[in-house]
Amino acid sequence: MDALTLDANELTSQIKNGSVSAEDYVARILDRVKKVENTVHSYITLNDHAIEEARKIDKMVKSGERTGRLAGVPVAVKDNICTRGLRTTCASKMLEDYVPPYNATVIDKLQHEGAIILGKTNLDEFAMGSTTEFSNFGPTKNPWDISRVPGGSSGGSAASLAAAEATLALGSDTGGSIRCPASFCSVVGLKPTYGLVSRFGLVSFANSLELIGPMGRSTDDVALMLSCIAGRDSMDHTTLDVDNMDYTSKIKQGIKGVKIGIVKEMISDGVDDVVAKTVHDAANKLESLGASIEEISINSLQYALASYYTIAMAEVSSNLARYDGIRYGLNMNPEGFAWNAYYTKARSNFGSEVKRRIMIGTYVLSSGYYGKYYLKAQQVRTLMRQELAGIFKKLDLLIAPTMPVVPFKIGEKIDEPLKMYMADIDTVIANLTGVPAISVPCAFKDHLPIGLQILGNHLSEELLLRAAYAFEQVNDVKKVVDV
Amino acid sequence: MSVKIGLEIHCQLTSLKTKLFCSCSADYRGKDPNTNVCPICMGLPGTLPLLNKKALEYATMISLVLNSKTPSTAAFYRKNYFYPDLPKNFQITQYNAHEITSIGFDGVVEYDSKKVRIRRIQLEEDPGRLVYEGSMETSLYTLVDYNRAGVALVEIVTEPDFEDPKDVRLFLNKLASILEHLGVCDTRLEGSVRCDVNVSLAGGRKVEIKNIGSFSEAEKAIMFEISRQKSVGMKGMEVRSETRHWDDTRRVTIQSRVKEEEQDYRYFPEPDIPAVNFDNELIQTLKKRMPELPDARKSRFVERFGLSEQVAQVLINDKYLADFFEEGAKLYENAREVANWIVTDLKGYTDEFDGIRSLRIKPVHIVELAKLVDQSIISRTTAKQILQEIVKSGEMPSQVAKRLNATQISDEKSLTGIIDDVFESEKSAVKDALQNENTVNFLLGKVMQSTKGRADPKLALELIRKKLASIT
Amino acid sequence: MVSKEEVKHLAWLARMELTDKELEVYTKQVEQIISYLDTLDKISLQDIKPLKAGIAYTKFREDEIVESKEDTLSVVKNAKDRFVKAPKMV
Repeated sequence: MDALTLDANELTSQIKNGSVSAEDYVARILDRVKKVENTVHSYITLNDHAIEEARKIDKMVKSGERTGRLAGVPVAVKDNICTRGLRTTCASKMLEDYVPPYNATVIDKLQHEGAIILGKTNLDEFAMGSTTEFSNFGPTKNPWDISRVPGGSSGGSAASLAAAEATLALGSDTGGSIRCPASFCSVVGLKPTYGLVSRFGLVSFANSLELIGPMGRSTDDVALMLSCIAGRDSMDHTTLDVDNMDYTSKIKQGIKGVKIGIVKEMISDGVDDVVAKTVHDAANKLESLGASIEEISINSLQYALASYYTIAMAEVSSNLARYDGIRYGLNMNPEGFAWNAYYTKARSNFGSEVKRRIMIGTYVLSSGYYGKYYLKAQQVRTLMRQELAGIFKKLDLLIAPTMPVVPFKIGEKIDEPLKMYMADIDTVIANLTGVPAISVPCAFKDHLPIGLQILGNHLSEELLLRAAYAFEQVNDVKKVVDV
Repeated sequence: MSVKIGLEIHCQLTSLKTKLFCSCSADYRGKDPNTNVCPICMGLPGTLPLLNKKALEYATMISLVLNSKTPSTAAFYRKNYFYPDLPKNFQITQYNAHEITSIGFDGVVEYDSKKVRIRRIQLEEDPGRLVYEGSMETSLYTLVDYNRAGVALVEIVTEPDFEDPKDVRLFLNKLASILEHLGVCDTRLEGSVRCDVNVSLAGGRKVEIKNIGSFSEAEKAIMFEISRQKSVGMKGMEVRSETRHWDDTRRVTIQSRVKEEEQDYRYFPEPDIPAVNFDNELIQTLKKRMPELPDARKSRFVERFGLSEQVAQVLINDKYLADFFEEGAKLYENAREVANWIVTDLKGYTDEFDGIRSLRIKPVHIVELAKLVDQSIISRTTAKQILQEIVKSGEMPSQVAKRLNATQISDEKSLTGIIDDVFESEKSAVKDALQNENTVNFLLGKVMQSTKGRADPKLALELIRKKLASIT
Repeated sequence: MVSKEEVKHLAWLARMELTDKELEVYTKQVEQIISYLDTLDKISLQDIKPLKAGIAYTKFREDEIVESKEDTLSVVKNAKDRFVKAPKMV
């Protein structure tokens, strides 16, 4: 199985020098997918043309044409990112057989670099959840322990990497949806600075909070993928004015002299002892690499979850209004229906978590409540940004656990929504403030993964990746498991 | 009884090539359904709105011309409601309840020596169109065409400063002229300008009237609504605060089927469109680029061409009429004559909707006509006849005059002969004319008749008086 | 306190149908969650304005027609003569 877990860098250079055939590799990965999917269930849809596309890459290599930085690399794409001609369901009955007529910008960019889209991975419906249990197509299992959740909402993407069903993956992160499953599945997942990666083609859940981000089994791979997908996009007004970023060239420079803060609130409030200890151990390791560690406090964190959920639910209640079955999605003939009856019948196809969030979002935006909830939540964001800006004047990076607990059992929190939301406690700050954050595999409690979260200031991905890479070199943990 | 009328005007920015939030063509009239669409304006999952820069410029220009303030940053909001013509089930628009973010606010417009305050000016997107097979009652479904969905609209809301429907008409005429002169909206296109009104009587409740299809309908709708509210009051009942629909076939306002009060639009800022910085530089650039506006043009017409205020006003009320006049004034120094011909005679031939563009006549035609009359080659009466013909045929007046052998008879010898004939056949009238001034005109009329209007009336009258004098 | 009536109204505003059982369950959950969101009441933020990252108007899109290369209508399930079929407004 070792051969199936090559790093993207290694794989693509072998493909480019002809020692590995892209078509062959993709075929073998697909065999593996066939073998483990009944157990793991990472994928919703596989790309029928993957082998054909890999064959083209081999041809181009042979004829000396330019093939790109990710030539032949099999990529798993979260199923809320639009792929032209390939079903995109958002794990919802509403879009069960929806086939987008266009590509997300990130997909165009990946294909321009020669990557092969292997298939679309499972997620919580419309990316709402932290466990991938809210999928219309059934849950994804954690490859490290199939009785437990892989995290969410990008659970399928993370599991596909841990189970060697892909080399790289794309996820999306609204409140921790890349980092949480990365932590639970012992892989690397990065939420970039808001605006660094285009959202065109990402099916909106909470537009002011979310982003597409790279996932892989090594920091190197994530840096390479980020370099390929980052940059301003004329199709997305919220992208930043940056282009041609290379996050790989300085990644090995180390972290001597880097000032790191360990966030007090994020290790104490509701965090498992094992997890807290893991982060302290990680801090020691970072110190041994030349960084300095100090404990800091982020006062506004106590309002983070309330602020996050207010904004996220408000935005989603509006973003999901378009799903009424009229223009796309369900096949429900409107003949004979009175208009409101049609809408309510069509929209009964949402899952329960989606319905819940839409109702709460509707509540906080309704007449009279705007100032009490939405406006306040946005003001908290400003407060947090100001507080973080102050902190980043003195410190370069922050560390904390990604998740307060180890992966829990499937079904354990599904009936208590509020308990489920509490799991996001350490991840939402990065989304509220727009700063980048990465989760790297840190340790295991028995066989259950624990991830370390590193946060940086806006557009500090280069430093973030340097730190993650340095940590990785002295903290070797398993990233893949034979299911 | 005191009347308060306020207006909510929607005007399409028809001069834009593309829609407000995507690069589809905004020219939807007469196209097959759903041909000017793309993933963005159809609201497909994952798409994001892309703001049209020019729309911002045009909306700001309107704002400046209506003497409105502009905010330091402008932002967009979502108005959430469900309707099949709304692809995202929300409309991207602007909203000032929490803070001022619309393109313009607190403006004032002078018209006919009165004033109306402008509450706000904002940019928003037009929804698609609903069509029914057969009739709305019998059809089993609606058909939706999204070609219009996403077209840029500017909404202009006034304070309820109007007291008379006539004033509303005058203001709307001025607004239409302003929009035409700015070059942002062709107000003659079907559906390009719409006007909702609100009317209240004697401090009573406000009634909103929607579905007024054109500016010219607004005055009629308001007049009906005022009389309706008056009669409600006379019956001893209270006017209900409600939304009514203007039925332009039956010429009445009717109760609306959809209850507007139940709508909770849950406005919040549009996260996909960053706020727009409105710095001074933008404002100055736009001010410099501003074309000549109706009021300035009117002053120039009066000063430069010596037109009267009234004539100048009629011309600038319709940009195309004013353009027509200026073209003509370039070709002939007697601008006053050119203007008079346009305002007094030509305008009568124009269609209410298409205006002067529907005629085959060009400025050269009018100029030649004016010249022919000024040079006494044809009489004014003949000229009017010729005008009637060339409006349809597009021929040059001189051609028609030649064809009809219509040149003016202005030489004494021929006229004397004709007058002698008339005096022969109208002996009793001649006798009467010696005492009665009116009968002199009767004789002149007979001369004009017999020459089919070609006689030079001034000269003929002179000769008639001479002859009468010679009899006594 | 969030009542059943309020939740029913919310579902209506969002055009979603709830069974009686769902209404019960959701009312409890929505109540719980809104109570949690009420944490925001604790903080007084009179003087903080929500951040608005304004950008120059020149950064937006040029008014030039770009023919759509995508087959947008391919996603429509119920169409007639190129129109999209929708329920009647009654």
